[in-house]
Amino acid sequence: MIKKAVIALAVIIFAEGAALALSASQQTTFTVTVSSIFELSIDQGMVDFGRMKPGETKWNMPSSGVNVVAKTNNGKPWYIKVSNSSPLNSANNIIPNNNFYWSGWTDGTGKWYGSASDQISTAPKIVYGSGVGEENNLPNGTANHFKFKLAVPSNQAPGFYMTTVKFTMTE
Amino acid sequence: MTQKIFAGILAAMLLAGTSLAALTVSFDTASIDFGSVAPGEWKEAPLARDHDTLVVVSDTGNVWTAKISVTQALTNGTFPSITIPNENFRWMSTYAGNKNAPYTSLVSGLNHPAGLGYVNFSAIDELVYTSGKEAAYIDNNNSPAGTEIQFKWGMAMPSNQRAGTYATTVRYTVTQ
Repeated sequence: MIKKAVIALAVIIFAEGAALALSASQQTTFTVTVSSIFELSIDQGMVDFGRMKPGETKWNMPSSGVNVVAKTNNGKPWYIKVSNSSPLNSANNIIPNNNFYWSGWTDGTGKWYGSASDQISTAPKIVYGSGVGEENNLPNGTANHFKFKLAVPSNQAPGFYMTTVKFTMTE
Repeated sequence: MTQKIFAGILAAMLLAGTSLAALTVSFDTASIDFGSVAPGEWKEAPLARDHDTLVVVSDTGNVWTAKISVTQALTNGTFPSITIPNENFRWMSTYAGNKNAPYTSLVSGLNHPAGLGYVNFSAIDELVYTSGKEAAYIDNNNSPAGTEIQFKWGMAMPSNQRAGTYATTVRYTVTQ
């Protein structure tokens, strides 16, 4: 009788062992750093007003506008300012900045600060402030478009005048 | 006397049961860093060797499976609501075989052989390997050498991904 009981118990235990589900696990931590993108690009490096007479004014240069594209994935508000390095100058002659204007428009959702008659200055002036969602505007960025107007003073000395206009993106 | 015999048999059976339950899993790397990845960039994780290795040892004699999952999407450390979708985080099982001699290739057990390329991570366990598929070496019982499964990792960074450091945990589960 006792032998039978032992045999029966053994069968039960082995049967349980066979049905036992086993599981084990391990894990690994993964990290990645997404690099910061904060860049400003323009599609034209040169704007040429061509030959102008004293007293002449040219608008809307260049006709297609200068496209200034700002890209960032930093998640912070940003703005663009415009300035020039110095008034248009040729040797010792200058065309004062109160004869040189910028205007334009934005494709963005932010605020465009320009009017149709903003003079360029050597002190940076705000042009555009990012809108909602533009704190991270990858991959296409936000495009702003600029045109320039130049009124050559009626008593301007002849010469090849040049200046550098600078766009600055800041967050 | 009878009671002693009974106790002895029972102890022997419990010991036998304990040895039957040996199924272990180990992974050779605790943390893996992709480093810096630019938005829109594809990058494979830089590894000390050309792969990371999962080792499974079983002496149960039963078919076992290895699965992989991610606990959550890669999450920005500063802004937890910002994540990198799981479909941009990928794994590849490049090889399976005996960890030690006889070094039999066991790639027939891979659910996604290397030729199929990278697989998107998922929060749901994805089958990586099933034991016992290779006739030359049935690794349902592979103790003590074990079966090693080699992995590579890839990241297809979304082109609009916010800058920052992201982290997640990958889990390997072996079940019989």
